[in-house]
Parts: sequence; structure tokens; C-alpha cells
Amino acid sequence: MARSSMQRARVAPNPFVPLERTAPDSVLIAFGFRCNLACTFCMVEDVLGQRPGTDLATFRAFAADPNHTRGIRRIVLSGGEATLEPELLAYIAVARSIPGVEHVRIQTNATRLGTGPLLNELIAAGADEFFVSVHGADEPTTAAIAQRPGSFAAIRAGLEAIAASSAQLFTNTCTVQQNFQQLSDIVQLITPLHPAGMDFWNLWPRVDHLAMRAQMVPVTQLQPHLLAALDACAAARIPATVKWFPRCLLGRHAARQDDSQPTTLIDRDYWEAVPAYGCIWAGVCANAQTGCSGLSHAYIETHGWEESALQPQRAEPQASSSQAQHVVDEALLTWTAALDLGVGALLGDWQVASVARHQANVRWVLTWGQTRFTVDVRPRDDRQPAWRRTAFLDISHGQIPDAATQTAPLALPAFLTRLERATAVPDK
Amino acid sequence: MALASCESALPTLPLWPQARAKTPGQPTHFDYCLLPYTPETTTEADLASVNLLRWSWQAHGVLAEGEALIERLRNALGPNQVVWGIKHRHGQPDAASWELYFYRRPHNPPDYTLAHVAEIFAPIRVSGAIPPFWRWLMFSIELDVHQLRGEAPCTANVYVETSGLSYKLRDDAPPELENHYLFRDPQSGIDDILTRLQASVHVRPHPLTLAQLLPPRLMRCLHVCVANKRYADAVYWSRVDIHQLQFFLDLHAWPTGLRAYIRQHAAQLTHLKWDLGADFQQNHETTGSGLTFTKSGIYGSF
Repeated sequence: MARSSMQRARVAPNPFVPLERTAPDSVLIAFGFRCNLACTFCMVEDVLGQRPGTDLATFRAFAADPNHTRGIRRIVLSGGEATLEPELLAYIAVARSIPGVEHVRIQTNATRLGTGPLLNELIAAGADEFFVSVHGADEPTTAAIAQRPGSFAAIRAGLEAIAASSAQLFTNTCTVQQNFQQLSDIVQLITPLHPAGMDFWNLWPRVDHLAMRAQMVPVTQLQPHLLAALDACAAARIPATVKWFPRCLLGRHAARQDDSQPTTLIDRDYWEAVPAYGCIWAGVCANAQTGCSGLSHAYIETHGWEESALQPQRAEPQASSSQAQHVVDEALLTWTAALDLGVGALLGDWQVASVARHQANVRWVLTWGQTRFTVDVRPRDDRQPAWRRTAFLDISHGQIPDAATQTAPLALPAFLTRLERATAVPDK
Repeated sequence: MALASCESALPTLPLWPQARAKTPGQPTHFDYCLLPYTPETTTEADLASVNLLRWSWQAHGVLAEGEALIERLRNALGPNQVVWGIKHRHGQPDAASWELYFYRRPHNPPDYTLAHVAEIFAPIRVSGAIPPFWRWLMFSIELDVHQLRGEAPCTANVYVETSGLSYKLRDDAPPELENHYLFRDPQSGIDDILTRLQASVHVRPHPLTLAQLLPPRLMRCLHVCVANKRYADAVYWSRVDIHQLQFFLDLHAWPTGLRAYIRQHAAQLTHLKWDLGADFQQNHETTGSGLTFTKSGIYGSF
């Protein structure tokens, strides 16, 4: 089974030296396991106040060894809440002492950065990127997740301060039951701050590995909200990244899925509880070979394998390579979104499950429960047969399954109406 | 003797060590298809898998009979010729049974036949005979407490070459179809596995059905086998590690004494790969997956 990339970041017999460089150019230093929030899904909840993390001396020793640091361009400083660490400025200095390091990133909830001198001190010391946890678009949601009333205002102030500074702002949102319906709202909240990137991390059940807190969202419920948020990011030209959500459900945003993590310097006991991942289709899906972790075991035991919802990317002789499939087709993405025929769009009871180029055609897969059929669209050519034609396009559809003979025709008029607005199939 | 009342007071069982290769390269570890595998690590303290079978026999008061049978089989056939299975009937801790499997493999002695094995079993009686024209791959003999004590005859199941079919031999009646099984790689063969499971009359469509039939923790195995039986269907997993074995025994609520025994000796059992199986039926509940696991088994060799 596919294993989480974080599992591959285990540490070697020396408990603070990475066994394997999982990312070519980034190293994450985990230290200062304290926090002023208490997020319900915290990945390090069990070590907060329990472990020292990577102390400064260990980090210095690591930084002084060219065998460890060769090729590193970014050091990520993380906790706990890293800004609570009294020696944070010293950590930044060590990071900046490593030859070739271009960026020093602080992972933070930003609650301490909105007021006072700390933000400027960190930037003056060499931090130039802030990766801020934003788990709600409003106070009630944030307070429910962070379990600290008033935290939303403090986070927002911190975000605005970073946006107004010389540093670059990145955000991270952990998708859980409490916030999955407001992912687009979070994008709307962040967009005016011109972030350099937004991450959406589906719950990584390291602590609650039995899913006792019922925070995991079924992927089919999360999918439309996640896609809408990614659409909003695309519209605002914000690079987005998705972690631990099946790539096959991201449709036009598949290339935004990346489960990798920086090489991590953390004491080895942390990895004992790393959640295992798997996909029932891993053996036949190209995505599993290119980094898609699938679903956590905790998810599978709670919600099932999702064998019907997942769409394995099977190798086809005429298909392009998995690498090529992994490239975002921005033109197609924009075109289908403008027609309201992007992945997740509803056509009565039917839903667009995927859109992709198929030779000269654009092929939609429409689903209704476990039933599906395809619709192909291509430039109009009156010499060729077609099921329907618009002024500019020819439309044909695949065989309609017996179970859908009543409902599929109802979806097609809506599909045609939306296609009437199109004047051409976009070029690649 | 009721298992539940006796297992906590079992006398300490002498441990049998893992057999060593007598010549370099000679296989010492075999899975439930009696195919050799190479252990990832070995130590001088490694224990043989058959200790679990002996523990089970001891818990049911038939250790002497069982060990005598092992000794007769080893003396007659040599080492690593027999696959053993412990069967746990869910909710019936006293109703354990055991099954011994005999495969045709290149390292078998030439007189490796049911008739010969039946002679070795004596005084335990084994009824039935394999017709000479059958192209058999293996046969198995199931035993309960009474049969192990020689109080009732055993019957044999015969597995026919390449067919995936097995038949129960009966003395005065035609053979009875018992089992139709399919082995697949859990990765590349997943389509066939799912097709077979989804075709099972014991499976009701439900989001959790497949996760119950194929727990994600057991998918790291060599093969998944799906078997259709007369009154239930079954899933088997081959060559799992001791952590997966322990997960499986916990999942199916195996006797606490056996689980404690494995925990106690886990370090000495990690060199082994294990094979597992679970029978399932529909329980006709109107909610949920309606899936009930009626019997489960674990397998090793001696």
C-alpha cells in the first residue's frame, strides 16, 4: 500500500538526523512544542509540553554538516507555535548560516504577530516567509477549532501585518468537519492579502488515529467545497496545494495535489504514531505511483474505502504519461469553469465527475450515484455524425447505462444549454 | 474442558525453537501454501510457529494427543511438510478446531498420499480416499477435540489442481463441493478481488462493507484469496507480519490467552510470516453492512 510521505521522513539512529531527504530543497526543524491554541486536530497534540523537539545545539550541528545541508534552499521552523520559542531568533540565525539557504519560513498561527515588535524582529533576523494556519473564516468556526475564544481576530491581525510587511504570506487550512463548508470563504478572506500560496491539508489523523473525534469529512462531501476553493484560488491566481486528499477527486486541480513534506528534523518517537495511508486502487492507478497517498487507515475504517467514488487513473495505451496527466490544463480549467461545467457542477441529479481532453475531444464524465456516462465535445464538423450540434460544437455521448435511462436524458439538455455559450474548444 | 475457564491457568508450555537449515540455502520458513520464504531477520531465540498450535491444543486439553500427532508426522514425512491451521468460531470459544494441510511440493517424499498420511494419523481415523484419476494439489484433514482423541473419524478435503475447487471426501457418497477459491495480488489483482467479493451473496452494498472485508491494515500481504463456500464466503491474507496477526486476532476477539502468549513472545515470533482467513455471512440486519464474521483462522507450518 502507499505510505504517507511523512512516514518516509523517519529519522535515523541518531534521533535528530534525517534518514532520508524526502524533499530535495527543504528541511523542517521541529522544536518548541508549546502552543497558545488548542486545535482539535493538532498533529503534535501528544508531544506539546512533552518533548523538547530539536534543540538549538542539535540544529547547529546539523547546519554545520554539509552532508546534511547540501542543496537546501529553504529552512522551515515549526513547533508547536514557533513564535513562543524564546530562542527563535537564534534558530533563524542558524538557518541563515547555512550556505545556499534562500528562504527561512516560520510556521505559525500568527496570533502573536499582529501587534508588537515580534514580526519585525523575525524579519530582521532573516525570516522571509510565514506559513500561517487559518482554519476558519470567522470567529465561531476558528474558536470551535482552536478552542480559544478571540483567536480569529488575533490571527487576522497577524495575517494583515505579514501582508503589510516585506515577508511573503502563505496559509494552511486543515479541512475538517467544522470548516469544510467555508473553504471558499477562507479564500475570500485571504485573497486581498495577496498570499504567495494557500495549502489545504485534509485531516492527517496522527493523534486521533481511531477517529474518535469524528472530524474527518467524507471525501465526496468535501470534494465540491475543496474544488470551489481551488477554483477561487485559480481565479485569484493564488498557487494552491492540497495534501492527503485523493488526487483522482481533484479533477482539473489534480496537479495541485502534493502529499510530500519537507525532510523533518524531529525526534524519532514522533513518527511512531504516523498514520498509515492506502488506496484500494493503488495497484492499478497511476496516481499511486506518483505520490498520491490515498486515504488514511482511520478514514477507511470510518468511512470505507470509497471504492466507487475514487477514480483510478488506469494506464491506457493511447494515454499520455502519468507525468503529463499531472500537468494542469489551465485553459480547459478556465473554459469549463466559465461554462459552469467544471468538476463538481450539478446537472439535475447528475454531477460532473471529471473533464479531460481525449484526443481532439473534451470528455466529461457525468455521475449519478455509482452510474456514469461520458459526453464528448469537439469542434463542429457537419461532415461528421453527432448527437447534437451547437453553432460551434459537436456533442456525442457514450452508452447510457440501463440504470440511468430515465435520468440521463434530463441531464443532457442542461449540459447543452451551458455549451451554447461556447464558441470553441480551447487550445491546449 | 471449557476454554474460558482453563486458559488463564495453563501450565507453562515448553517452547519449540525455529528449525535450522541443515544445509546452506535450505528453506526453513514456509507459508500456508507450503511455499518457502526468506525471513527478514533471524535470531538464535526464534520460535517455531507451531507453538501457537500447541498453545491452542493445550488450552483445549489435547496437547498430548496433538504433540504425538506432530511427532508421528515429522518422523514419517520429515520437517516442513505440513501446514497447520487453528480455527476460531466466533462466539464459541470452546468450539475450536484445527486443520492440517498436505501439499504436493517438490520437497515432498514420494509416498506423500492421503492413504499414507491416514496411516500416520492412526489411531486417529481418517475416512475417504482420493480417486486415483484425480489431479490433486493438496488435501487437508480437519480435527476437533474428539477427533484428535480418536473418538470420531476425520474427513479429508481435496483441492484439485489449477481449478480453485476443493471437495470433501465422503465414504459412501459422491464428493461434496466445499470451496471455490481465487488468489490474487492485492495490488494488481484488485479488480478480480472486488469482482469476486461484490458477487458474493453474503455482501450487501454499504460504504463500510469493503473496509470490513479488506481491512486496510491487512492489505500489505502477498496474496488475498477470496473463497466461496457452501454457507459462507471467506477472505484470506498470506504472509502478513506479527503486527498484522495481532491486529487480526484482536479484531476477531480470539481467546485472550493466545493473544497474551503472542504478546509475551512477540520478539521471538517476528521472523515469521503468518497467514489469516475469515469466513463471513449476512446477518440479515436491516441497517449497516449486515456483515458477520463467523469463523477465522490462522496458519503456520511445521
